[in-house]
Amino acid sequence: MYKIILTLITRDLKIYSRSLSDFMSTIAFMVTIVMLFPLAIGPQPDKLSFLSNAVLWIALIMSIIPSLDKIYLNDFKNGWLEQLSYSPILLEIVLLIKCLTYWLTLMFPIITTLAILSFILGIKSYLIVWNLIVFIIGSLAICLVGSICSSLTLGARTGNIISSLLILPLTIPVLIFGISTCEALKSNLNPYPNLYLLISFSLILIILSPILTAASVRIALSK
Amino acid sequence: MIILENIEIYRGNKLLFSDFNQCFVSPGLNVIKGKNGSGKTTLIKMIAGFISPNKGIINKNYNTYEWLQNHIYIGSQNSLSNELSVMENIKIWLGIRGWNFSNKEIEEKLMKIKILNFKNILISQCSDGIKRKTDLCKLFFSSRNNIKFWLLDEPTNNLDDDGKQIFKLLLKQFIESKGTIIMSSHDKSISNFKINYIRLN
Repeated sequence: MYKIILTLITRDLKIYSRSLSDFMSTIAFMVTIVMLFPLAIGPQPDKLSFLSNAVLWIALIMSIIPSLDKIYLNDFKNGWLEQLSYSPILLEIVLLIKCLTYWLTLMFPIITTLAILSFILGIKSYLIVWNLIVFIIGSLAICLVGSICSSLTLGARTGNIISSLLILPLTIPVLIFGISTCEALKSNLNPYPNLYLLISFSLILIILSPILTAASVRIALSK
Repeated sequence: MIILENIEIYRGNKLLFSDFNQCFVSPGLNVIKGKNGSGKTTLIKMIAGFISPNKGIINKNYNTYEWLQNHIYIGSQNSLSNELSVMENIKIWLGIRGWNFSNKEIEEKLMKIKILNFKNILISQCSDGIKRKTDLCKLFFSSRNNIKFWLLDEPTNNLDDDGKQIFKLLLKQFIESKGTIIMSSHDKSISNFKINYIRLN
């Protein structure tokens, strides 16, 4: 069992490391969004620091959403998902591992870039560390939601567009709780209520997402 | 023994079979014949368990878990990742099924199917024939893992004459070790086996 899980993780890591350009496009997109905001707002540092959290959150969500269909689409097309159902481990767990591996791989470049961008936007350094923790938890929730939506549209021809639309309403709680935590920190209020809500949302998704994903993958395989 | 009883199945709005009864010879070689679009792939996927019929029963004498563990399904697509090499693809496939084979054993099998020279080449750079051979190489690992069934969807596509000879040898060995093969094929070169033909129309 332990060995099978290790094989699953190393396979995905190998594939991701050999298709790094996909991840770089996500990062490039994020940097572009953040860079355009100061130019559009104008040269007023107080306005920028007022908007900085919102800009970072929007950049994070906007750059992750288009890349989420990569979790399953290629493996569905080349028939690997069919072979995955022959593993002695439950398909639910296999797909959860796949999703978590994707999230971890995506996290390293994204968190580094977000840290640099936070400096550029002039966020105070002790706030940056807090923000990054909130970003990590938030992006886990986004990836888990994305895993459900992208697996739902596996068989469809225009899957990419539909799954982006499906993900959007489901990421709104993440955005609200995440940004409230960051804003509370900025104005020296208690961040914990919102942070706990964000964490609980992610934890509920860890349970729900693999069940729903496996169900929709099974439907996609029966087509 | 696999018996299909009164199967009715739709793909989209099209009725493929109704009142379809079929018995598969076990152990032995079952070949499904039919025109394009007559439902060969659907039938194999249904036996594998990916598709459930709208009506009817599939008797397999195994529960779902046992069934998954004692057959190998090779679809018409190659289930290979373009970013991995030939060797890595096979190793990972063995890994997720929980089978342990050393590198040397895998190389031995690669040599039997004559793709040892290609073992470190990425699948994206391989020809279709090599991809097919890599996929078929998985069948070599069935003897030690109590595999009793092979479900193959047009396995001889893209194979050269040499590859077909090796494939025939594989079939022969598997039938001799009391295995059951259900495959769809247009290939006439396997005609010297004792075959149970299933014709779809």
